[in-house]
Amino acid sequence: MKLTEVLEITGATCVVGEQLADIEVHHAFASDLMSDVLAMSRPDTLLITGLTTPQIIRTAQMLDLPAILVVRGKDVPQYVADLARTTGIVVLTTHDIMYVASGKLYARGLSG
Amino acid sequence: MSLERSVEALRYLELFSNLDASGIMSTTVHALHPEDRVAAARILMREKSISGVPIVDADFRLVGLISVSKIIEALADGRLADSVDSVMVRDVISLHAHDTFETILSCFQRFKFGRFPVVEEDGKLVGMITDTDVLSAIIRSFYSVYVHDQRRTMTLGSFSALSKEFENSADFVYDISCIGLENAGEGSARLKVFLQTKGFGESVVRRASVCAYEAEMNVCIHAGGQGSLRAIARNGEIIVRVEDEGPGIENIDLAMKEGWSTATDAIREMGFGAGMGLANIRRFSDHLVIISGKDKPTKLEMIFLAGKE
Amino acid sequence: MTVHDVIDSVGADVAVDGDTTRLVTSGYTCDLLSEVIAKAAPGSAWATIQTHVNVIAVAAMVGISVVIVCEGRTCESDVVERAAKEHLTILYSKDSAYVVSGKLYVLGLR
Repeated sequence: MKLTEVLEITGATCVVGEQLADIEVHHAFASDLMSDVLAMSRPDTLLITGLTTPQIIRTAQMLDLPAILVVRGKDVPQYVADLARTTGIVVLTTHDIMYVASGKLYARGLSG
Repeated sequence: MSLERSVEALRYLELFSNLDASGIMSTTVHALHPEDRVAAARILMREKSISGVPIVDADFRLVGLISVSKIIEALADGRLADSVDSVMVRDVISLHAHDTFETILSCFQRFKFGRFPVVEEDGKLVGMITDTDVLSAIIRSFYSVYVHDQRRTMTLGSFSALSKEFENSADFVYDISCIGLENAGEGSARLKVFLQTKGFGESVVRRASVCAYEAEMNVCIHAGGQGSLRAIARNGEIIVRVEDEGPGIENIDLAMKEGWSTATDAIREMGFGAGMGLANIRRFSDHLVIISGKDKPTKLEMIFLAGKE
Repeated sequence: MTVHDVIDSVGADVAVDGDTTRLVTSGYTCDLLSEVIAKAAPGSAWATIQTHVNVIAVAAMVGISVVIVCEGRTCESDVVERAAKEHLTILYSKDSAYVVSGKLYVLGLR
């Protein structure tokens, strides 16, 4: 699924990496615990999380994850956005809660 | 404690069934040619603190072995200037690179030698196995070895489960100095870039980075954010060492358990401290050694093999 | 949808058989307990990978109808006992929280 579709399905906006919205993800993973994410070593995955700490960027970087969807409409702090920019990770943000964002994407065929 | 007895006590050979001679042997081998002098063998043994020297032909095929006892005999007979050829043992008991752990042990038990040369199918010497190598392999094959206080000396004597390479230098060095969690992970991010420039494959780099990151987070969460992250990356092997000054892990068995954590609620709310850090490290590393204890520094060493994908 | 329907539809094992006739009116997926306390609605099916005993306390406080512990994780016996005392149903699912959420959402739980 292209990130442009993710944007459309979840009504998200792109915080970092608009030029990369063409990127495709094949799986999604929803978690607020970064060690849980780190246990899943699969590169082409969209990370869905409610956190906005620098650690979400670091985690994505370690796993080669292309993009993060921040849920619950949380503001991504500037320094976190900057870190995402320097590490080349796309950050999207939606007002949906994690359950709804996951449900919508799953329903549209993005597998776990 | 002799190797034989310690291994008998283990009686869990299947635990080590994945080890073969090529994984146990040391590949830094000092060999001589048949035409070299016995005196040269004597000097080599003294300088390298080894008790036997394999003898190879021009194609590195094993043709003999000279042991300390042969040197002593030659010394008594005044034959130090003679060629190695005249005093060496010709019917050398050797191991094959693919011999199993069990075969290797039975070799040690049957022949009572301190070392065995390891050869390829074509007879070429590729390594040596000493009892220390076997012990190292056993320890490395345990996912975790917690050695602290008296247990350390009781079980291991002066033997170190950690790589000696770090005593001299490391290929990558990062001083962890983290206040709060904001820049936690920077060292691992740098390590990842370093490993990529070294030409390691995507998957092994990912495994090493994830584990380094978990270890770095542990230092930041539990050890006051002060420590070091170092790595040696060569010959298809990445060794990562993360050290801190404590307060240490009181019960490593418990800490390894998925879901167990001493982290505060504040840390949990930041997405860490779910008790999966060490479990992840165990899952993604090929070898893991942890040395710690209550109020002790923690040394964590992880090895990642590029070929093991 | 009742807790019973949730059990049938997500294909999870029942770890604690609580009040399965309870209505489930919404879904909530989260691993941060403070967020659940602040944001989850009563009657939610809560998908998480947390197995801490505090999960039960939070679920009871919020009025969660069923907790789905994901990714094949299991709770310690003290957590199970506490849930039984609260008549709270706990399910174990092999799926990730994403997939559990997806399955429930597709079934119409919004």
